[in-house]
Amino acid sequence: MRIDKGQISSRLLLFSVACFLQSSALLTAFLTEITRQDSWIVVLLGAIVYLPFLWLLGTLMAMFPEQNLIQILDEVYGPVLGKILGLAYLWFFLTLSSVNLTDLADFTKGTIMFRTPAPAMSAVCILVSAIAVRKGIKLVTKFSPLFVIVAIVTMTLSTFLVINQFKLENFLPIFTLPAKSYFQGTHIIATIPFGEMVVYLMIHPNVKFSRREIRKSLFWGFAVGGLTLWSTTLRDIGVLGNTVDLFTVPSLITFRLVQVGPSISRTEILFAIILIMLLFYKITLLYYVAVLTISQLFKIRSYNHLVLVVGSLMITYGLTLYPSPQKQAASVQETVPVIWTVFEILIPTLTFILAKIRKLPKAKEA
Amino acid sequence: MGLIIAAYAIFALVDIFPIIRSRSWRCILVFIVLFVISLTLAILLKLKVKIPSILLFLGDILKSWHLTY
Amino acid sequence: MLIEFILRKLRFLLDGNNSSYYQTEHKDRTYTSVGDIGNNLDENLCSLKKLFVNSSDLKIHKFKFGGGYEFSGAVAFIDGLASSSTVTEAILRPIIEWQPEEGPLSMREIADILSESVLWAGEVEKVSTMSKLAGGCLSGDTAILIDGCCHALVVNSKGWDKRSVAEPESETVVRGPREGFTENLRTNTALIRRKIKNPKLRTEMLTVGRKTQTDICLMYLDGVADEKVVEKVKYRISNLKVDSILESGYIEEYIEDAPFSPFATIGSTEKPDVVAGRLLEGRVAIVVDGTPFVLTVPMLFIEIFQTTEDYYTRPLYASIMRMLRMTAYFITIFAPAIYISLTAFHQELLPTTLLFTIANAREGTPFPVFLEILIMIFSYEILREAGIRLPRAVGQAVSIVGALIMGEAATSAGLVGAPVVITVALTAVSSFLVPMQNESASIIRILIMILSSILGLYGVAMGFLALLLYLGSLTSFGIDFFAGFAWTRNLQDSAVRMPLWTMVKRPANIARGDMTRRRFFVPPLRPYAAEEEDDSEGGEDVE
Repeated sequence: MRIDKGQISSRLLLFSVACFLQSSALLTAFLTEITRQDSWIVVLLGAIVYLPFLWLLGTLMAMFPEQNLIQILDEVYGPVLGKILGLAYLWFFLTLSSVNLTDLADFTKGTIMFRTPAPAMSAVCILVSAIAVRKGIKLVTKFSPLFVIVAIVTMTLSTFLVINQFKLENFLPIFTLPAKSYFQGTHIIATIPFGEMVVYLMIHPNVKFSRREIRKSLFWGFAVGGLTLWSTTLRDIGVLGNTVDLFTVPSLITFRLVQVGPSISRTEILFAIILIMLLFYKITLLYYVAVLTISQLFKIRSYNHLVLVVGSLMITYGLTLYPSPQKQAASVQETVPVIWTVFEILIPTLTFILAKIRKLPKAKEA
Repeated sequence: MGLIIAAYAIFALVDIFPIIRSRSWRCILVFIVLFVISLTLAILLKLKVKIPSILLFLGDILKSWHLTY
Repeated sequence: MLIEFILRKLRFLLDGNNSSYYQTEHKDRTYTSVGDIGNNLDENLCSLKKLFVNSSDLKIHKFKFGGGYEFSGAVAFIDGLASSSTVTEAILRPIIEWQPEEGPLSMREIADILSESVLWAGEVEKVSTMSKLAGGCLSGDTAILIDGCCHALVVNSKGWDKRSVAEPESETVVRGPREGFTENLRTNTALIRRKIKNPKLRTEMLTVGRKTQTDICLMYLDGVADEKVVEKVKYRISNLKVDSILESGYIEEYIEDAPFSPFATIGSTEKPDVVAGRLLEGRVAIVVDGTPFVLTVPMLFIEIFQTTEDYYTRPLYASIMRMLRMTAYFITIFAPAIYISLTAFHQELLPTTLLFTIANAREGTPFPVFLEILIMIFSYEILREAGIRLPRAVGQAVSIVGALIMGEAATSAGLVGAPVVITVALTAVSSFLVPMQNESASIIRILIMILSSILGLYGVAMGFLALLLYLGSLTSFGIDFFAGFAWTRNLQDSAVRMPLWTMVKRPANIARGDMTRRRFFVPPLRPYAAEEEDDSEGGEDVE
């Protein structure tokens, strides 16, 4: 049963994936605290490590072309276990979106609006996202080409503007950290920006594609987004060196060092606005996926009227998640990768293996 | 406090009538459950009651199993 | 009583639109219930006069014709609508001078002979009901009633005073044709036909409005326009149960996809070349009798920035002008909001010297920034509206004096600061670059100002995103409103205007039939391409 009847083209899926990954440019902070000036190596390693799972995602999408994640779980694991796993994924998607929403609100409060309470900003963001989510996937992904271009232009522009402060010595010393840090860093990168692409398992029934095209779109989107992330990290390390772990958001510090003219200063506010818009796109997509999961799980035909309730739940739930930024940083670096791995890597792999054993897609064709 | 109640009242009114009109009882049930959870959390947060965080709770469990970094 | 009212409203909210509350039908009070034309001339004339409630401009003239004046008939027309020279020269004279051949003639045959061989008219219709006769009279035709015949003839004799074709005042151009539509339906369709001399240009007439019986003409290019859109338009217009259609704006409101939106999803224009261009792209034009504004359906957001002058001037300049127009639209919506957020929330973004100036200006003013800007925008709207309503002679002087004095005096009185006046002036002037969007820009400007005064630049960013998403969700008769900017193959006409020879295909989402405008991607030949290089660089040595 298809709840959202909108169809998007696979090219739009490519841009959507790229935009989704580029929006995580704000979150590189958690990584740089561990691996400092070797973060660029870790990003590369994380991308390489995630590639096979990306292939796995594409294969799952090709195996079950008309069913989204909840329906796949129902089919592969049977009704009872499938429902339980579906509820677990519901919690996962809700947590993902709430975490990103509170990140946005805290980031905005910390950098450009100092005195406004954070829930007000979350509320406004949810209200605007609700406009998109109510209309379905077509509107949610409609502007992703625009955002991708804006992100790439911002990245290149900012790189050119700080290139005079770029020092190659900032990359040294190299490979001096203990191996555990590299492992942890790779794990973080593979699960937090890249692994969240598992949400596309909920969206792929709406894409007009052939079995080969979906993997191509996913891969190229992943390439564009990952490349942007990687060059962001490179640029930050090149400019800031091994002071990069002192700052909560290194990209912003890099922007602050931009010197456009003698009188124009603090232009990082403009860049912060662009980062906010990118993060808004990610939140809208995750919001849509959360609402879709709820309506799919409880077999509700039209989810239009649940949108605002889920939004309010996201705001309040997000406020309970992390009482302080230090606990958030500790959690993200230590426990979140492990929890996310279960949902993003273990369960899809298990599903794939079980489906192959039970020869599931063949039964559909008969 | 008043702002929270007003906001929740507004969006409940906006959404409740179309749902009742569509007469799908599952939708109403889910709506009411989510609404109640969200409202409770909001009021508790406003009253500055400490709510245990699920993520940190899971993190503590994993720490006790030595599965984290 | 109050309880009853509340209960009724609750019941309506729960039942939706199926409730019996709104099921009352109005009695049809038109003149369709009058009846047929009988055989007796006097009875017919009596019922005609009664139908027109004895109006003084319904002229009825009884005459006798035939060889020995044995037949009697009457003409009926409305003075002012029918041209009296046609009535006398083309109708009365040939009838009265007619000599029938020998032999008995039935009344029926007389009507046929009159319509086929006697009358000097190009459009004769035989009618048998009184309502059609009255309808013909009201359109300016003359009705001929014959004693003993139950049919009447309605002859085209339209001739009323109409405005001549002149330059439209709302859309002036520097280069391009200066014809504009008039209030006459036939003139307008003729103006469009002169641009597209193609038999496939379909014109279909409809009549809408119970009391006004307005004529509406749908025009589209058969084979190029999307049939689904044409069907939708026809369906929506023919199902209009309204009393009156006075202007195309009425039709626009009744048939558009999003009636509450500040953005118009149906385009309107006063110039025939604009309509011809849009028809060639596959749209449908709706011409309404009585107004020079012709509607074109569907409309895309990008059309706001396209003027026909773009296509007649050089592409580079046209592209620059188009981007300037887009920037101006952005400025007119966001400039007050950005000013508010910069001065109230993010002072650190301003250069220091500018900051001092603004702080100085704000020292003496009593109001917060939001209120200052609101006052100035309010006075600007008052001035603009007054400028439209004033008689022409006084208008210029009052608006200039008003602007100068209000701006100057307000600043020196300390009510508002000078930077605020400059910002609002910039907003106002930018709004004139995209003239058709005054309504939407004013509303959205205020909303974004409110957002920015609460949340600063974050509010502006969220407002911008909300605007984008809202525009993305609008449809115009099923076509995406925001389609011109999407990542399609046909980007040659959106943000910039590429040379005409690159626009190979019609816009894919509007035209469905014949998609190619030109066969090949052929750049224009250089004048001397067939010959050798032109010898304009110095002369060769002459031997």
